[in-house]
Amino acid sequence: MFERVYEHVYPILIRIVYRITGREDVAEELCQEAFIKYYERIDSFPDTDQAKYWLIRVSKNLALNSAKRSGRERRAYERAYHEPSRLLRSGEDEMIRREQEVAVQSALRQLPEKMRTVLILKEYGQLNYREIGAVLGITEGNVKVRVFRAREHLLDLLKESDVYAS
Amino acid sequence: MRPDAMILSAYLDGEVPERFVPDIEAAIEREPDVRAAYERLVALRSRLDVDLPFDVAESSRRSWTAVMREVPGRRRDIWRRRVAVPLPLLAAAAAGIAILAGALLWTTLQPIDATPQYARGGDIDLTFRVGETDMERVLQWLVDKNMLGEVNIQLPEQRFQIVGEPVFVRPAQYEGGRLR
Repeated sequence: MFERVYEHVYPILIRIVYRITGREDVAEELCQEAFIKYYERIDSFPDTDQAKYWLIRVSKNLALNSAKRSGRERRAYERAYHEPSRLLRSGEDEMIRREQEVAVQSALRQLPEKMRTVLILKEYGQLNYREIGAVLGITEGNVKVRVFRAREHLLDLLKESDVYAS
Repeated sequence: MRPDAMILSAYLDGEVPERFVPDIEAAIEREPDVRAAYERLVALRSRLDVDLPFDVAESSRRSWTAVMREVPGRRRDIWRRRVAVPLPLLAAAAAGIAILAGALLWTTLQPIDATPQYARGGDIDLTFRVGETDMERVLQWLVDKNMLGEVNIQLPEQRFQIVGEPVFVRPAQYEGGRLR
């Protein structure tokens, strides 16, 4: 059970936590902490889905607390998105792409926490509205509204920074 | 039907009921401003969809190793465990416990048989000391009661130097330390 859940959930967790913390090493540590907590209470979960929602909720909270505590979120994002890409692209294209990534992730960081969380779970956790609702303890309708507002807010921020290109 | 921006956002996520999808797609095709709004959302998703700057599979392996180092020393909360017991097994266990309890109770409540063993016809071993002058009377009493079976008499060895076959000597024949 533990190994099966790990294999299924870890890739989701690491994407979510990394997008919140912006640091690979911190994201890994927080994911490990979440799985150790999960192991200690593994028998209390009736099925894999409940374990998955719990793990995402715990790791998301750990990541948000870590980001607040360290106060290095912005710098971490910028550092992360200025690292050399593993994809082979032409130098100029690569530079433009990097700048756009940095701008988008910086704008994402500026969203209010509730909007940012729901959008990260949607875009990086690949969760549907029902699953996001289960993780956050809100209704599907509420998720739909928050995702929509988060996108609208993000588009406005990108328009202001003159990065968004239609 | 002219979908608003929230419906377009839900449509992008595949969260719109199937029956509304044809109308939304037709509106995107037909209405330039609806199409523009939808394309903005698609472009935003595309910008958010960036590669992680590290290999997820490698990260997973590293973390698995770290977690496995920690996990054996961790205590699992026993009180939070869910225990699934098949109903027939539970019923059988309950029946077994009931039978054992009944047997124990029955044994405990049985009256104790206070009848002496000799009264129930069993053999008994009886040891008693009798002075040498009363031996004959005791033996005679046992014979009169028809209770004499086998009698073992233990003599103090240091006082007798028996030579030859033992002879039954009545106390009446013994007087003053000599046989009459």
